[in-house]
Amino acid sequence: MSESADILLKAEGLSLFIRQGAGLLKVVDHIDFSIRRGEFFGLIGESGSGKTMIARAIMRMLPPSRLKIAGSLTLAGVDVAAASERAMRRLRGKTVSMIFQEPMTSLNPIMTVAQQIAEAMRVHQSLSTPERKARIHKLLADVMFADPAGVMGLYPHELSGGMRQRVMIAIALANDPLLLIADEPTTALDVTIQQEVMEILARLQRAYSLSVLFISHDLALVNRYADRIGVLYGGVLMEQGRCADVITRPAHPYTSGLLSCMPRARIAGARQRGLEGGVPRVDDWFEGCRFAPRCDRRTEECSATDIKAVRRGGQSVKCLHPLP
Amino acid sequence: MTQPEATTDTAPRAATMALALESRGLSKTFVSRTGLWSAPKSTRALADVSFELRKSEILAIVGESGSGKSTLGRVIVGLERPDAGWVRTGATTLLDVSRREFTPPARRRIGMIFQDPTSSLNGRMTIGDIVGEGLYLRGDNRRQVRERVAKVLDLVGLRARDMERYPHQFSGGQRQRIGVARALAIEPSILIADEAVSSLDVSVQMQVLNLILDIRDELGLAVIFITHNIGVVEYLCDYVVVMSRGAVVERGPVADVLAEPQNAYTQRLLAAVPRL
Repeated sequence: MSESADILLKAEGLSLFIRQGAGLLKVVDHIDFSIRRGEFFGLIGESGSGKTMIARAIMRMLPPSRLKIAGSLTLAGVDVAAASERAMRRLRGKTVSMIFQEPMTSLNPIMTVAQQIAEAMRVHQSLSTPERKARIHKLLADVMFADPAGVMGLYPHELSGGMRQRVMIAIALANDPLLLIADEPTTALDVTIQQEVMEILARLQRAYSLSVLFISHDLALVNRYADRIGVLYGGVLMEQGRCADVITRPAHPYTSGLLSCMPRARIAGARQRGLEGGVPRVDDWFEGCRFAPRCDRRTEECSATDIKAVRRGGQSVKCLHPLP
Repeated sequence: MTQPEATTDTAPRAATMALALESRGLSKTFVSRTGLWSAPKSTRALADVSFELRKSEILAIVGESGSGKSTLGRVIVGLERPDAGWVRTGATTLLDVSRREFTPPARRRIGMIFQDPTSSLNGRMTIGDIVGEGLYLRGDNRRQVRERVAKVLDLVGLRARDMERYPHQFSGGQRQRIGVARALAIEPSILIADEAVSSLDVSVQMQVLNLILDIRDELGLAVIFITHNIGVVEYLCDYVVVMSRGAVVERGPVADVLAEPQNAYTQRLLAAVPRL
Protein backbone atom coordinates (compact mmCIF):
# COMPACT_ATOMS: atom_id res chain seq x y z
CA MET A 1 0.00 0.00 0.00
CA SER A 2 1.36 3.41 -0.89
CA GLU A 3 1.90 5.87 1.89
CA SER A 4 -0.90 8.20 0.81
CA ALA A 5 -3.43 5.36 0.62
CA ASP A 6 -2.47 4.49 4.16
CA ILE A 7 -3.49 7.89 5.49
CA LEU A 8 -6.86 7.99 7.24
CA LEU A 9 -7.04 11.56 8.50
CA LYS A 10 -5.30 14.55 6.98
CA ALA A 11 -5.36 18.19 8.01
CA GLU A 12 -3.70 20.74 5.73
CA GLY A 13 -3.56 24.39 6.67
CA LEU A 14 -6.45 23.70 9.00
CA SER A 15 -7.79 26.69 10.94
CA LEU A 16 -10.86 26.66 13.14
CA PHE A 17 -13.01 29.58 14.18
CA ILE A 18 -15.81 29.83 16.70
CA ARG A 19 -18.58 32.27 15.94
CA GLN A 20 -18.82 34.80 18.74
CA GLY A 21 -21.54 37.38 18.36
CA ALA A 22 -20.89 39.04 15.02
CA GLY A 23 -17.25 38.00 14.80
CA LEU A 24 -15.10 34.91 14.48
CA LEU A 25 -12.64 33.80 17.15
CA LYS A 26 -9.70 31.79 15.88
CA VAL A 27 -9.09 28.72 18.07
CA VAL A 28 -6.81 26.62 15.83
CA ASP A 29 -4.23 28.25 13.61
CA HIS A 30 -3.10 26.68 10.33
CA ILE A 31 -2.09 23.19 11.37
CA ASP A 32 -0.88 20.27 9.24
CA PHE A 33 -0.91 16.70 10.43
CA SER A 34 -2.05 13.25 9.40
CA ILE A 35 -2.88 9.94 11.02
CA ARG A 36 -2.23 6.61 9.31
CA ARG A 37 -4.25 3.43 9.54
CA GLY A 38 -3.54 1.67 12.84
CA GLU A 39 -1.50 4.56 14.21
CA PHE A 40 -1.69 5.92 17.76
CA PHE A 41 -1.30 9.69 17.50
CA GLY A 42 -0.93 11.68 20.73
CA LEU A 43 -2.01 15.31 20.64
CA ILE A 44 -0.51 17.20 23.56
CA GLY A 45 -1.77 20.56 24.68
CA GLU A 46 -2.51 22.75 27.69
CA SER A 47 -5.71 24.70 28.28
CA GLY A 48 -6.74 26.86 25.34
CA SER A 49 -4.36 25.11 22.95
CA GLY A 50 -7.25 24.08 20.68
CA LYS A 51 -6.88 20.32 21.13
CA THR A 52 -10.53 19.65 21.93
CA MET A 53 -11.65 21.90 19.06
CA ILE A 54 -9.72 19.74 16.61
CA ALA A 55 -11.59 16.67 17.90
CA ARG A 56 -14.90 18.45 17.57
CA ALA A 57 -14.10 19.56 14.04
CA ILE A 58 -13.25 16.01 12.93
CA MET A 59 -16.58 14.75 14.29
CA ARG A 60 -18.26 17.99 13.17
CA MET A 61 -19.98 18.06 16.51
CA LEU A 62 -20.80 21.74 16.06
CA PRO A 63 -22.69 22.91 12.95
CA PRO A 64 -20.69 24.97 10.41
CA SER A 65 -22.63 28.01 11.61
CA ARG A 66 -20.95 27.67 15.03
CA LEU A 67 -17.55 26.23 14.15
CA LYS A 68 -16.02 27.36 10.89
CA ILE A 69 -13.49 25.05 9.27
CA ALA A 70 -10.93 26.69 6.97
CA GLY A 71 -8.22 24.86 5.08
CA SER A 72 -8.56 21.18 4.41
CA LEU A 73 -9.65 18.32 6.65
CA THR A 74 -10.22 14.92 5.08
CA LEU A 75 -11.28 11.75 6.82
CA ALA A 76 -11.26 8.49 4.85
CA GLY A 77 -11.44 10.49 1.63
CA VAL A 78 -14.38 12.65 2.77
CA ASP A 79 -13.94 16.42 2.92
CA VAL A 80 -15.23 17.10 6.42
CA ALA A 81 -15.48 20.85 5.89
CA ALA A 82 -17.77 20.48 2.87
CA ALA A 83 -19.65 17.26 3.65
CA SER A 84 -23.42 17.36 4.00
CA GLU A 85 -24.94 16.61 7.37
CA ARG A 86 -26.19 13.30 5.92
CA ALA A 87 -22.68 12.34 4.84
CA MET A 88 -21.40 13.24 8.33
CA ARG A 89 -24.01 10.98 9.94
CA ARG A 90 -22.69 8.10 7.83
CA LEU A 91 -19.18 8.91 9.02
CA ARG A 92 -19.92 9.24 12.74
CA GLY A 93 -19.79 5.93 14.53
CA LYS A 94 -18.83 3.96 11.43
CA THR A 95 -15.64 5.76 10.40
CA VAL A 96 -14.88 7.85 13.48
CA SER A 97 -16.12 7.79 17.02
CA MET A 98 -15.15 9.41 20.26
CA ILE A 99 -14.78 8.95 24.01
CA PHE A 100 -14.66 11.77 26.53
CA GLN A 101 -13.19 12.68 29.90
CA GLU A 102 -16.33 12.18 31.94
CA PRO A 103 -18.14 9.00 30.88
CA MET A 104 -21.08 9.57 33.21
CA THR A 105 -22.23 12.64 31.30
CA SER A 106 -22.19 10.69 28.02
CA LEU A 107 -24.08 7.65 29.32
CA ASN A 108 -27.84 7.57 29.65
CA PRO A 109 -28.66 6.94 33.34
CA ILE A 110 -31.97 5.16 32.64
CA MET A 111 -30.74 2.72 30.00
CA THR A 112 -28.85 -0.52 30.62
CA VAL A 113 -25.38 -1.09 29.21
CA ALA A 114 -26.76 -3.47 26.56
CA GLN A 115 -29.47 -1.02 25.49
CA GLN A 116 -26.92 1.76 25.02
CA ILE A 117 -24.59 -0.38 22.94
CA ALA A 118 -27.56 -1.62 20.89
CA GLU A 119 -28.69 1.94 20.28
CA ALA A 120 -25.30 2.85 18.84
CA MET A 121 -25.35 -0.26 16.61
CA ARG A 122 -28.86 0.37 15.29
CA VAL A 123 -27.71 3.48 13.42
CA HIS A 124 -25.41 1.57 11.10
CA GLN A 125 -26.25 -2.13 11.32
CA SER A 126 -29.42 -4.19 11.04
CA LEU A 127 -28.90 -7.34 13.03
CA SER A 128 -31.21 -10.05 14.33
CA THR A 129 -31.70 -10.15 18.09
CA PRO A 130 -29.33 -13.11 18.67
CA GLU A 131 -26.71 -11.56 16.38
CA ARG A 132 -26.99 -8.27 18.24
CA LYS A 133 -26.70 -9.97 21.60
CA ALA A 134 -23.63 -11.90 20.50
CA ARG A 135 -22.05 -8.71 19.21
CA ILE A 136 -22.69 -6.83 22.48
CA HIS A 137 -21.22 -9.76 24.38
CA LYS A 138 -18.11 -9.65 22.20
CA LEU A 139 -17.71 -5.88 22.62
CA LEU A 140 -17.91 -6.12 26.40
CA ALA A 141 -15.41 -8.98 26.40
CA ASP A 142 -13.13 -6.82 24.24
CA VAL A 143 -13.06 -4.14 26.93
CA MET A 144 -12.10 -6.81 29.46
CA PHE A 145 -15.27 -7.38 31.42
CA ALA A 146 -14.84 -10.80 33.00
CA ASP A 147 -18.60 -11.38 32.95
CA PRO A 148 -20.05 -9.62 29.87
CA ALA A 149 -23.47 -11.23 30.27
CA GLY A 150 -23.71 -9.90 33.82
CA VAL A 151 -22.70 -6.36 32.83
CA MET A 152 -25.28 -6.09 30.02
CA GLY A 153 -28.20 -5.56 32.38
CA LEU A 154 -26.47 -3.01 34.64
CA TYR A 155 -27.21 0.71 34.75
CA PRO A 156 -24.42 3.34 34.65
CA HIS A 157 -24.78 4.17 38.36
CA GLU A 158 -23.96 0.56 39.20
CA LEU A 159 -20.56 0.87 37.50
CA SER A 160 -17.31 2.37 38.79
CA GLY A 161 -15.59 5.20 36.88
CA GLY A 162 -13.19 2.83 35.14
CA MET A 163 -16.01 0.44 34.17
CA ARG A 164 -18.04 3.34 32.74
CA GLN A 165 -15.14 4.40 30.58
CA ARG A 166 -14.80 0.81 29.34
CA VAL A 167 -18.51 0.76 28.46
CA MET A 168 -17.97 4.03 26.56
CA ILE A 169 -15.16 2.38 24.61
CA ALA A 170 -17.47 -0.56 23.80
CA ILE A 171 -20.14 1.87 22.54
CA ALA A 172 -17.57 3.80 20.52
CA LEU A 173 -16.36 0.59 18.87
CA ALA A 174 -19.86 -0.82 18.25
CA ASN A 175 -19.71 -0.08 14.52
CA ASP A 176 -16.04 -0.96 13.96
CA PRO A 177 -14.80 2.58 13.34
CA LEU A 178 -11.45 3.21 11.69
CA LEU A 179 -10.56 6.13 13.97
CA LEU A 180 -11.19 6.52 17.67
CA ILE A 181 -10.79 9.99 19.15
CA ALA A 182 -10.09 9.89 22.88
CA ASP A 183 -10.27 13.29 24.57
CA GLU A 184 -8.54 13.05 27.97
CA PRO A 185 -10.38 9.76 28.65
CA THR A 186 -8.42 8.94 31.80
CA THR A 187 -7.96 12.36 33.40
CA ALA A 188 -10.76 11.79 35.91
CA LEU A 189 -9.55 8.29 36.82
CA ASP A 190 -7.09 7.05 39.44
CA VAL A 191 -3.70 6.01 38.07
CA THR A 192 -4.22 2.27 38.59
CA ILE A 193 -7.56 2.49 36.74
CA GLN A 194 -6.00 4.76 34.13
CA GLN A 195 -3.49 2.03 33.41
CA GLU A 196 -6.24 -0.57 32.94
CA VAL A 197 -8.13 1.64 30.49
CA MET A 198 -4.96 2.53 28.57
CA GLU A 199 -3.92 -1.10 28.25
CA ILE A 200 -7.37 -1.97 26.87
CA LEU A 201 -7.15 0.88 24.33
CA ALA A 202 -3.67 -0.17 23.24
CA ARG A 203 -4.74 -3.80 22.87
CA LEU A 204 -7.79 -2.89 20.76
CA GLN A 205 -5.68 -0.57 18.62
CA ARG A 206 -3.36 -3.47 17.77
CA ALA A 207 -6.08 -6.12 17.44
CA TYR A 208 -8.25 -4.10 15.03
CA SER A 209 -5.62 -1.86 13.40
CA LEU A 210 -7.59 0.99 14.91
CA SER A 211 -6.24 4.50 14.51
CA VAL A 212 -6.33 6.47 17.74
CA LEU A 213 -6.20 10.24 18.15
CA PHE A 214 -5.38 10.56 21.84
CA ILE A 215 -5.76 14.05 23.28
CA SER A 216 -4.02 14.76 26.57
CA HIS A 217 -2.04 17.20 28.65
CA ASP A 218 0.06 14.37 30.07
CA LEU A 219 3.30 13.92 28.14
CA ALA A 220 4.42 10.95 30.24
CA LEU A 221 1.18 9.05 29.65
CA VAL A 222 1.15 9.68 25.92
CA ASN A 223 4.80 8.68 25.69
CA ARG A 224 3.91 5.18 26.85
CA TYR A 225 1.44 4.51 24.03
CA ALA A 226 1.82 6.89 21.09
CA ASP A 227 3.62 6.16 17.81
CA ARG A 228 3.75 9.83 16.91
CA ILE A 229 2.89 13.00 18.80
CA GLY A 230 1.98 16.58 18.02
CA VAL A 231 2.52 19.39 20.50
CA LEU A 232 -0.03 22.20 20.39
CA TYR A 233 0.37 25.61 21.95
CA GLY A 234 -1.89 28.59 21.39
CA GLY A 235 -3.65 26.84 18.50
CA VAL A 236 -0.38 26.16 16.64
CA LEU A 237 1.11 22.71 16.14
CA MET A 238 4.57 23.64 17.39
CA GLU A 239 6.22 20.29 16.84
CA GLN A 240 5.42 16.81 15.62
CA GLY A 241 7.31 13.62 14.98
CA ARG A 242 7.93 10.15 16.26
CA CYS A 243 7.12 10.09 19.95
CA ALA A 244 10.47 8.73 21.08
CA ASP A 245 12.33 11.38 19.03
CA VAL A 246 10.25 14.32 20.25
CA ILE A 247 10.58 13.31 23.89
CA THR A 248 14.28 12.47 23.87
CA ARG A 249 15.33 15.26 21.51
CA PRO A 250 12.72 18.02 21.42
CA ALA A 251 13.26 20.53 18.62
CA HIS A 252 10.85 23.21 19.81
CA PRO A 253 11.76 25.28 22.89
CA TYR A 254 8.16 24.82 24.13
CA THR A 255 8.41 21.01 24.02
CA SER A 256 11.70 21.22 25.83
CA GLY A 257 10.19 23.65 28.36
CA LEU A 258 7.23 21.36 28.92
CA LEU A 259 9.61 18.48 29.64
CA SER A 260 11.44 20.64 32.17
CA CYS A 261 8.10 21.23 33.91
CA MET A 262 7.63 17.54 34.65
CA PRO A 263 8.67 17.22 38.28
CA ARG A 264 11.27 14.59 39.13
CA ALA A 265 13.68 13.91 41.98
CA ARG A 266 15.90 16.86 42.92
CA ILE A 267 19.56 15.92 42.90
CA ALA A 268 21.27 17.66 45.81
CA GLY A 269 18.33 20.00 46.22
CA ALA A 270 18.68 21.54 42.74
CA ARG A 271 15.53 23.19 41.41
CA GLN A 272 13.96 22.65 38.01
CA ARG A 273 13.44 25.95 36.28
CA GLY A 274 10.22 25.13 34.51
CA LEU A 275 8.67 27.89 32.41
CA GLU A 276 7.90 31.48 33.35
CA GLY A 277 4.56 33.08 32.65
CA GLY A 278 1.33 31.45 31.58
CA VAL A 279 -0.54 30.00 28.64
CA PRO A 280 -1.91 32.69 26.25
CA ARG A 281 -5.68 33.09 26.47
CA VAL A 282 -7.49 32.32 23.27
CA ASP A 283 -9.08 35.77 23.10
CA ASP A 284 -5.77 37.58 23.24
CA TRP A 285 -3.65 35.77 20.74
CA PHE A 286 -1.09 37.90 18.98
CA GLU A 287 0.81 37.69 15.68
CA GLY A 288 4.08 35.83 15.54
CA CYS A 289 5.16 32.93 17.71
CA ARG A 290 2.78 32.66 20.68
CA PHE A 291 5.40 30.98 22.79
CA ALA A 292 7.93 33.79 22.27
CA PRO A 293 7.13 35.72 25.50
CA ARG A 294 8.09 32.63 27.56
CA CYS A 295 10.99 31.56 25.34
CA ASP A 296 14.66 32.20 26.11
CA ARG A 297 15.65 31.68 22.45
CA ARG A 298 13.41 34.45 21.11
CA THR A 299 14.68 37.18 18.84
CA GLU A 300 12.94 40.08 17.11
CA GLU A 301 12.14 37.93 14.07
CA CYS A 302 9.92 35.72 16.25
CA SER A 303 7.15 38.30 15.99
CA ALA A 304 7.10 37.71 12.21
CA THR A 305 3.58 36.87 11.13
CA ASP A 306 4.17 33.65 9.24
CA ILE A 307 6.48 31.11 10.82
CA LYS A 308 6.80 28.07 8.57
CA ALA A 309 7.38 24.53 9.73
CA VAL A 310 10.93 23.31 9.17
CA ARG A 311 12.26 19.77 9.40
CA ARG A 312 14.86 18.61 11.85
CA GLY A 313 15.50 14.95 11.21
CA GLY A 314 12.12 13.25 11.26
CA GLN A 315 10.56 16.07 13.26
CA SER A 316 8.64 19.01 11.93
CA VAL A 317 8.95 22.17 14.00
CA LYS A 318 7.44 25.65 13.78
CA CYS A 319 10.29 27.68 15.17
CA LEU A 320 12.86 30.09 13.80
CA HIS A 321 15.45 28.92 16.33
CA PRO A 322 14.88 25.21 16.87
CA LEU A 323 17.07 23.34 19.30
CA PRO A 324 20.06 21.62 17.66
CA MET B 1 -9.82 -4.71 56.22
CA THR B 2 -6.67 -3.00 57.32
CA GLN B 3 -3.53 -4.18 55.62
CA PRO B 4 -0.32 -4.48 57.62
CA GLU B 5 1.69 -1.31 57.30
CA ALA B 6 5.11 -1.33 55.71
CA THR B 7 7.88 0.97 56.86
CA THR B 8 10.75 1.87 54.65
CA ASP B 9 12.31 3.78 57.51
CA THR B 10 15.87 2.54 57.24
CA ALA B 11 17.09 5.49 59.29
CA PRO B 12 14.20 6.80 61.40
CA ARG B 13 14.02 10.56 61.36
CA ALA B 14 16.21 11.93 64.11
CA ALA B 15 14.26 12.21 67.33
CA THR B 16 15.97 15.55 67.87
CA MET B 17 14.11 17.08 64.94
CA ALA B 18 11.36 19.09 66.57
CA LEU B 19 7.80 18.08 65.87
CA ALA B 20 5.49 20.53 64.15
CA LEU B 21 2.46 18.28 64.48
CA GLU B 22 1.63 14.91 65.90
CA SER B 23 -1.50 12.82 65.52
CA ARG B 24 -2.62 9.51 66.99
CA GLY B 25 -5.43 7.12 66.24
CA LEU B 26 -7.51 9.33 63.95
CA SER B 27 -10.64 7.52 62.82
CA LYS B 28 -13.64 8.76 60.92
CA THR B 29 -16.62 6.93 59.49
CA PHE B 30 -19.09 8.63 57.18
CA VAL B 31 -22.63 7.33 57.25
CA SER B 32 -24.79 8.04 54.23
CA ARG B 33 -28.29 6.99 53.27
CA THR B 34 -28.27 5.65 49.74
CA GLY B 35 -32.04 5.40 49.42
CA LEU B 36 -35.21 5.90 51.37
CA TRP B 37 -35.63 2.23 52.28
CA SER B 38 -32.10 0.91 52.13
CA ALA B 39 -29.94 0.55 55.22
CA PRO B 40 -27.46 3.41 55.81
CA LYS B 41 -24.10 2.78 54.23
CA SER B 42 -20.99 3.51 56.24
CA THR B 43 -17.61 4.36 54.76
CA ARG B 44 -14.43 4.20 56.76
CA ALA B 45 -12.57 7.32 55.65
CA LEU B 46 -9.88 7.16 58.34
CA ALA B 47 -8.88 4.02 60.21
CA ASP B 48 -6.53 4.61 63.13
CA VAL B 49 -4.21 7.05 61.36
CA SER B 50 -1.15 8.27 63.27
CA PHE B 51 1.69 10.36 61.89
CA GLU B 52 4.23 13.02 62.77
CA LEU B 53 5.21 16.13 60.88
CA ARG B 54 8.64 17.61 61.62
CA LYS B 55 9.46 21.31 61.49
CA SER B 56 10.52 22.50 58.00
CA GLU B 57 9.49 19.18 56.54
CA ILE B 58 7.32 18.69 53.45
CA LEU B 59 5.26 15.59 54.10
CA ALA B 60 3.40 13.90 51.24
CA ILE B 61 0.10 12.16 51.84
CA VAL B 62 -0.41 9.97 48.80
CA GLY B 63 -3.36 7.85 47.76
CA GLU B 64 -6.08 7.37 45.17
CA SER B 65 -9.65 8.58 45.44
CA GLY B 66 -11.36 7.20 48.52
CA SER B 67 -8.06 6.65 50.33
CA GLY B 68 -8.97 9.17 53.02
CA LYS B 69 -6.14 11.58 52.22
CA SER B 70 -8.40 14.62 51.83
CA THR B 71 -10.40 13.75 54.96
CA LEU B 72 -7.13 13.64 56.89
CA GLY B 73 -6.27 17.15 55.70
CA ARG B 74 -9.74 18.42 56.60
CA VAL B 75 -9.54 16.91 60.08
CA ILE B 76 -6.20 18.57 60.77
CA VAL B 77 -7.33 21.96 59.56
CA GLY B 78 -10.59 21.61 61.53
CA LEU B 79 -13.15 21.37 58.74
CA GLU B 80 -14.10 17.84 59.81
CA ARG B 81 -14.35 16.23 63.25
CA PRO B 82 -13.00 12.70 63.65
CA ASP B 83 -14.70 9.95 65.71
CA ALA B 84 -11.52 9.15 67.61
CA GLY B 85 -7.95 10.30 68.04
CA TRP B 86 -6.04 13.47 68.75
CA VAL B 87 -3.87 16.06 67.00
CA ARG B 88 -1.30 18.30 68.69
CA THR B 89 1.02 21.05 67.51
CA GLY B 90 3.80 21.56 70.02
CA ALA B 91 2.11 22.08 73.36
CA THR B 92 -1.30 22.96 71.88
CA THR B 93 -4.00 20.34 71.49
CA LEU B 94 -5.92 20.99 68.26
CA LEU B 95 -8.36 18.26 69.02
CA ASP B 96 -8.72 15.32 71.33
CA VAL B 97 -11.89 13.30 70.94
CA SER B 98 -11.61 11.41 74.24
CA ARG B 99 -11.16 14.67 76.18
CA ARG B 100 -13.74 16.52 74.07
CA GLU B 101 -11.29 19.25 73.14
CA PHE B 102 -11.64 21.06 69.83
CA THR B 103 -9.80 24.21 68.77
CA PRO B 104 -11.80 26.13 66.14
CA PRO B 105 -10.15 26.29 62.69
CA ALA B 106 -9.54 30.05 62.93
CA ARG B 107 -7.32 29.58 65.99
CA ARG B 108 -5.26 26.66 64.72
CA ARG B 109 -2.65 28.65 62.77
CA ILE B 110 -2.82 26.17 59.94
CA GLY B 111 -3.09 27.58 56.44
CA MET B 112 -4.87 25.64 53.75
CA ILE B 113 -4.38 25.74 49.98
CA PHE B 114 -7.19 24.21 47.92
CA GLN B 115 -7.18 22.37 44.61
CA ASP B 116 -9.11 24.68 42.35
CA PRO B 117 -7.92 28.27 42.61
CA THR B 118 -10.90 29.51 40.59
CA SER B 119 -13.74 28.09 42.65
CA SER B 120 -11.98 28.62 45.98
CA LEU B 121 -11.66 32.39 45.48
CA ASN B 122 -14.81 34.49 45.78
CA GLY B 123 -15.13 36.31 42.46
CA ARG B 124 -16.95 39.27 44.02
CA MET B 125 -14.23 40.03 46.55
CA THR B 126 -11.01 41.93 45.90
CA ILE B 127 -7.73 40.11 46.39
CA GLY B 128 -7.11 42.30 49.45
CA ASP B 129 -10.34 41.10 51.09
CA ILE B 130 -9.82 37.45 50.08
CA VAL B 131 -6.30 37.29 51.45
CA GLY B 132 -7.14 39.43 54.49
CA GLU B 133 -10.38 37.70 55.50
CA GLY B 134 -8.75 35.45 58.09
CA LEU B 135 -7.02 38.47 59.61
CA TYR B 136 -10.27 40.41 60.03
CA LEU B 137 -11.73 37.28 61.63
CA ARG B 138 -9.00 37.18 64.22
CA GLY B 139 -9.58 40.87 65.01
CA ASP B 140 -6.84 42.77 63.17
CA ASN B 141 -7.68 46.37 62.21
CA ARG B 142 -7.77 47.64 58.63
CA ARG B 143 -4.26 49.06 58.65
CA GLN B 144 -2.74 45.90 60.10
CA VAL B 145 -4.58 43.78 57.55
CA ARG B 146 -3.39 45.89 54.59
CA GLU B 147 0.21 45.74 55.79
CA ARG B 148 0.12 41.99 56.25
CA VAL B 149 -1.65 41.40 52.90
CA ALA B 150 0.93 43.54 51.09
CA LYS B 151 3.65 41.49 52.73
CA VAL B 152 2.28 38.06 51.78
CA LEU B 153 1.45 39.19 48.23
CA ASP B 154 5.08 40.20 47.88
CA LEU B 155 6.13 36.83 49.28
CA VAL B 156 4.22 34.93 46.60
CA GLY B 157 5.44 37.14 43.76
CA LEU B 158 2.42 39.42 43.35
CA ARG B 159 2.33 43.17 43.93
CA ALA B 160 0.70 45.18 46.70
CA ARG B 161 -1.41 47.04 44.14
CA ASP B 162 -3.00 43.71 43.13
CA MET B 163 -5.03 44.09 46.35
CA GLU B 164 -7.60 46.21 44.51
CA ARG B 165 -8.09 43.70 41.68
CA TYR B 166 -10.48 40.76 41.34
CA PRO B 167 -9.72 37.03 40.79
CA HIS B 168 -10.84 36.98 37.13
CA GLN B 169 -8.09 39.45 36.30
CA PHE B 170 -5.46 36.82 37.07
CA SER B 171 -4.27 33.69 35.26
CA GLY B 172 -4.66 30.20 36.79
CA GLY B 173 -1.11 30.16 38.15
CA GLN B 174 -1.49 33.63 39.65
CA ARG B 175 -4.79 32.63 41.26
CA GLN B 176 -3.06 29.75 42.99
CA ARG B 177 -0.43 32.24 44.22
CA ILE B 178 -3.34 34.20 45.71
CA GLY B 179 -4.50 30.95 47.36
CA VAL B 180 -1.01 30.51 48.83
CA ALA B 181 -0.98 34.14 50.01
CA ARG B 182 -4.33 33.64 51.77
CA ALA B 183 -2.98 30.54 53.51
CA LEU B 184 0.13 32.44 54.63
CA ALA B 185 -1.70 35.59 55.79
CA ILE B 186 -2.59 34.22 59.22
CA GLU B 187 1.09 33.53 59.96
CA PRO B 188 0.61 29.75 60.11
CA SER B 189 3.19 27.34 61.41
CA ILE B 190 1.82 24.63 59.15
CA LEU B 191 0.56 24.69 55.58
CA ILE B 192 -1.78 22.05 54.18
CA ALA B 193 -2.05 21.82 50.40
CA ASP B 194 -4.75 19.52 49.01
CA GLU B 195 -3.99 18.73 45.34
CA ALA B 196 -2.75 22.31 45.07
CA VAL B 197 -1.28 21.97 41.57
CA SER B 198 -3.57 19.34 40.01
CA SER B 199 -5.84 21.76 38.20
CA LEU B 200 -3.03 23.97 36.90
CA ASP B 201 -1.56 23.84 33.41
CA VAL B 202 1.52 21.63 33.26
CA SER B 203 3.74 24.57 32.26
CA VAL B 204 2.57 26.52 35.33
CA GLN B 205 2.72 23.78 38.00
CA MET B 206 6.47 24.04 38.48
CA GLN B 207 6.16 27.75 39.41
CA VAL B 208 3.82 26.90 42.28
CA LEU B 209 5.96 23.95 43.42
CA ASN B 210 9.01 26.20 43.51
CA LEU B 211 7.00 28.82 45.40
CA ILE B 212 6.16 26.25 48.07
CA LEU B 213 9.84 25.26 48.32
CA ASP B 214 10.82 28.95 48.64
CA ILE B 215 8.27 29.50 51.39
CA ARG B 216 9.41 26.44 53.30
CA ASP B 217 13.03 27.57 53.01
CA GLU B 218 12.35 31.20 53.94
CA LEU B 219 9.78 30.78 56.69
CA GLY B 220 10.72 27.32 57.93
CA LEU B 221 7.12 26.18 57.65
CA ALA B 222 6.10 22.54 57.80
CA VAL B 223 3.96 21.49 54.87
CA ILE B 224 1.51 18.64 54.38
CA PHE B 225 1.13 18.08 50.65
CA ILE B 226 -1.82 15.88 49.73
CA THR B 227 -1.53 14.54 46.20
CA HIS B 228 -1.92 11.65 43.79
CA ASN B 229 0.96 12.87 41.63
CA ILE B 230 4.08 10.81 42.28
CA GLY B 231 6.31 13.15 40.25
CA VAL B 232 5.34 16.01 42.58
CA VAL B 233 6.11 13.87 45.63
CA GLU B 234 9.53 13.08 44.22
CA TYR B 235 10.32 16.71 43.49
CA LEU B 236 8.84 18.44 46.49
CA CYS B 237 8.57 16.16 49.49
CA ASP B 238 10.91 14.77 52.13
CA TYR B 239 8.76 12.10 53.69
CA VAL B 240 5.77 10.19 52.39
CA VAL B 241 2.73 8.51 53.94
CA VAL B 242 0.84 6.20 51.57
CA MET B 243 -2.86 5.70 52.28
CA SER B 244 -5.36 3.19 50.99
CA ARG B 245 -8.97 2.81 52.13
CA GLY B 246 -8.50 5.07 55.11
CA ALA B 247 -5.40 3.38 56.48
CA VAL B 248 -1.70 4.14 56.25
CA VAL B 249 -0.15 1.26 54.30
CA GLU B 250 3.41 2.52 54.07
CA ARG B 251 5.57 5.41 55.22
CA GLY B 252 9.18 6.48 54.90
CA PRO B 253 11.61 8.94 53.33
CA VAL B 254 10.51 9.69 49.75
CA ALA B 255 13.66 8.38 48.08
CA ASP B 256 13.44 5.05 49.93
CA VAL B 257 9.73 4.42 49.40
CA LEU B 258 9.89 5.30 45.71
CA ALA B 259 13.00 3.21 45.12
CA GLU B 260 11.89 0.16 47.06
CA PRO B 261 8.24 0.15 48.00
CA GLN B 262 7.50 -2.63 50.49
CA ASN B 263 3.73 -2.67 50.49
CA ALA B 264 1.92 -4.42 47.61
CA TYR B 265 -0.47 -1.49 47.09
CA THR B 266 2.39 1.04 46.94
CA GLN B 267 4.14 -1.19 44.42
CA ARG B 268 1.04 -1.37 42.24
CA LEU B 269 0.48 2.37 42.48
CA LEU B 270 4.05 3.24 41.51
CA ALA B 271 4.06 0.76 38.62
CA ALA B 272 0.92 2.38 37.18
CA VAL B 273 2.45 5.88 37.09
CA PRO B 274 3.72 6.73 33.61
CA ARG B 275 7.14 8.35 33.71
CA LEU B 276 9.54 9.87 31.26
